[in-house]
Amino acid sequence: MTCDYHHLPNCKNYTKQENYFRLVYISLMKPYLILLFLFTSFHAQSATKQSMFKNTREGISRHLGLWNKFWLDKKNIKLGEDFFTTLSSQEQLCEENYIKNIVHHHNSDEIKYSILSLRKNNLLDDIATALIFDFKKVPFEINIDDLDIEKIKQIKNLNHTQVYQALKQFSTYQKKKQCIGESFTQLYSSLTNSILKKSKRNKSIKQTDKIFKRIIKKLYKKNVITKKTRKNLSKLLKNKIHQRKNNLKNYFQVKSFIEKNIKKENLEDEIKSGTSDFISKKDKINKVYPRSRLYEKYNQFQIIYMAQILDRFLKRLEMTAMLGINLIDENQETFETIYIESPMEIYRFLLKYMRHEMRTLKENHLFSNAQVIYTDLIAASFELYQIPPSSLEELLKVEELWNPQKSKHDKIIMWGKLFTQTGIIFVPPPYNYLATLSIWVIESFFQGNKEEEASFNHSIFGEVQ
Amino acid sequence: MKRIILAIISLLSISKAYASYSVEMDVMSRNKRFRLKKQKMLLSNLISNNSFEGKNFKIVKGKSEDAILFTNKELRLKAATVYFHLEKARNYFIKNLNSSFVQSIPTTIIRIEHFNKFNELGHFANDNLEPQFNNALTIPEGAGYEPAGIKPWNTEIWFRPSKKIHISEIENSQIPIDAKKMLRTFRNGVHMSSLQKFLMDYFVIKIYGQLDRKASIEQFIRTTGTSIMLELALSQASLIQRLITKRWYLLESALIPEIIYHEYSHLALSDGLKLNQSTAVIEGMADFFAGKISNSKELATKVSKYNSFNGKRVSSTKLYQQEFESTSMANTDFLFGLLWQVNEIVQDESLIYDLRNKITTDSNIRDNLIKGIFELIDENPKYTQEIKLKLYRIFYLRGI
Repeated sequence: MTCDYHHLPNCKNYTKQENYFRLVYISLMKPYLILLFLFTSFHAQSATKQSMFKNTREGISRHLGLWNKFWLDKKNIKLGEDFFTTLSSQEQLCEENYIKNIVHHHNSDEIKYSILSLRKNNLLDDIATALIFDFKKVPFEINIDDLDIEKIKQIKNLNHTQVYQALKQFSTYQKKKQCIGESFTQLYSSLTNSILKKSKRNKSIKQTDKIFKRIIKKLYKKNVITKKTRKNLSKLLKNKIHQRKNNLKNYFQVKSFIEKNIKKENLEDEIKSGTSDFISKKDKINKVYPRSRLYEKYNQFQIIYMAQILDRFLKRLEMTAMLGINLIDENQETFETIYIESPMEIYRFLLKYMRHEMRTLKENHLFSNAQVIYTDLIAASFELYQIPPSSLEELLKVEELWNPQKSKHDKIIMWGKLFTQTGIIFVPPPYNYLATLSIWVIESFFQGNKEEEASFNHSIFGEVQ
Repeated sequence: MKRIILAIISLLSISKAYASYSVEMDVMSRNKRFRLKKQKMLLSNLISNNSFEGKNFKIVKGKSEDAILFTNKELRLKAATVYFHLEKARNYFIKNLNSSFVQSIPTTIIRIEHFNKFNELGHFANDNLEPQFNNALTIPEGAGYEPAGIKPWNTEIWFRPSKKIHISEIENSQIPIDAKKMLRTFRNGVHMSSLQKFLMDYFVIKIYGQLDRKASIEQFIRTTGTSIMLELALSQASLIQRLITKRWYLLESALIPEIIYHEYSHLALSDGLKLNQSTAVIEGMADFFAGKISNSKELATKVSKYNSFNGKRVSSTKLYQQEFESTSMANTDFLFGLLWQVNEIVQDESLIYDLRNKITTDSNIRDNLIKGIFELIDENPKYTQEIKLKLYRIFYLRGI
């Protein structure tokens, strides 16, 4: 008994009768299976009728300042949920598809305000908006047809096969449903590495950009690519698409991993859900947008790890009623225990310990090159629904304890004082004394009874630094 | 018939005994600009129609047990002011804080123009023993001593007579303006300016190689002269200090509403905070409620006619010092400001009121009071994590 259907996987030896039934079964089922496959794939393409980057956490948008809001209202562009009926889930991962959708389906040339309208209606968050904005001035389609290796071979000092392969791969990005940004980055890398005579020195980005420009110029001159293709590739280069640190695909990957790791009870907790302005606004101390920075700098594992630090701090603060310090002798026996009941001493100790944990992150292999700041811990914790939006502002202010900021008022006084003191040099006596007296009076008036900084002489753990 | 007549007579007498009167009188009260002015106010809950004897308060002079008569021109304003503001304070604790303890307090004796010291055994110290002025206090109840004819007494509030005294006679008097410090800062500024001028001139000479001798000598004399004058002023800083600072102290405690509220607050809090001594915690708590009743962040300020001390202010930027825990500095406005800040965060005066059950008179600020606040926060689920974090931060910034 032999197997007649060797092309089938796991082909076993069957009897004639068995084979007959199998043949009938397969011939009947085959069209059905094909139909089923086509249906499911079609369904998968069109299933997502809603945005994948819906804003659920950000409050005020950094893109919707007074100016943009004014023009958005004036232009009366209102894009809603229906915008996504023409975008499959796969398509939503490519920035250029949003631009394409605005131009083709909504017949609008107001790309910027159309995206802002989506942001205004919380159908996109700030991170996705910023990533799509990178593409608002770049072509969303680049075609390379009729590639001829012979023409490429006319260009000297290039690895012709590598160039041919790179261009061929780039030309199929639309068929393969790849994003233009990703494909362009690959093309950029392949073309700039295809030079045969390479200098040993590392090249700067500016230099590699020049090389890329030179190559596409040569490709155009040898009729490998059209004038339009060259122009479009130059536009992508000009807009630094290849230098982007993040893209929608990566963002979605990290975001969905984090979403899967949010504890169910936290997700269902009404207090912990909702948006916060502080996560999308510029942080006053570090001058960063906390949520954007989080997804730009860290991967999903780092985010989860960082969130745990703040979570532990808050849990300790909630639960600690007393600190006990055991003094242990050489025989590993406690000979004295010091108890600390003061809530502020406990607070200072726990803050210091959290700072210590933050600093020692550098030693962790997960964070070898990362410069973790306190705002990152808050953003990570907020993203995992561990802290309620109402606590966010207060948690951000905690940083002021070890990183005190000068108020605007103090800064004005400082600069005013500096300029006036310098100016006094040019004032002859006795008027310079009058000027000094005036400065002194103004200074005393502004400072009032401002006392010196708090002294923590009474504290065991002292000031948080 | 006889029984009916007797019943009517007894009912009439009972109703007469519990009849309450309202009288309109001149009272020292705050106007909209927080200035203390004489204003016509209605005194209610009086059980006498000719004296300051009410259901809740009886105003007497010194050691007397008889209420001051309305006809007493000399004390009428003080008695009316004290009576009116005490009723206001009582209403605050009952209406705003729903205090059952305050409702249960029997008629309280209020003594004005009373200079005797308090004696725990004898109620009043001997008349010759250190007469007291410019002050007010709430005394705890006492068992008395029958063999010596000293009757038991309930908690009382005493207002001392006013007396103009020199600032140097007051212990721990705070100097509002430090002339020496001010002069030293100015001198340093002038010296720096002279040095800069000298360097600038030297620079000009080096470049242009010219020197106007006459002008330079004149400038040198001016600079030296001013410096000498400044140094002399600095050496005589104490004399200047005496000239510029306020030297006299006066406090008419029975005419200042916030002092009346402060003393009543001691009484209202006395179910938790015993009146055995003056500590930072007990004074701060009373200050807070005095501020709340008067609906102001300032205590006893802007009353120059009856008061020449600086009062207490919520806005005071005092940071925590260990000395505040001591009795000698129990009356600073540090805790007043701190509790006000806490209330602005929690938005609930009852939390501060309930604090009296978490602490004692001997509690300190740093550990016991702060712990009490956090315990109350933890006990009530309405206080969010945000509130707790806010409290931690403000306590830290205050240096606690």
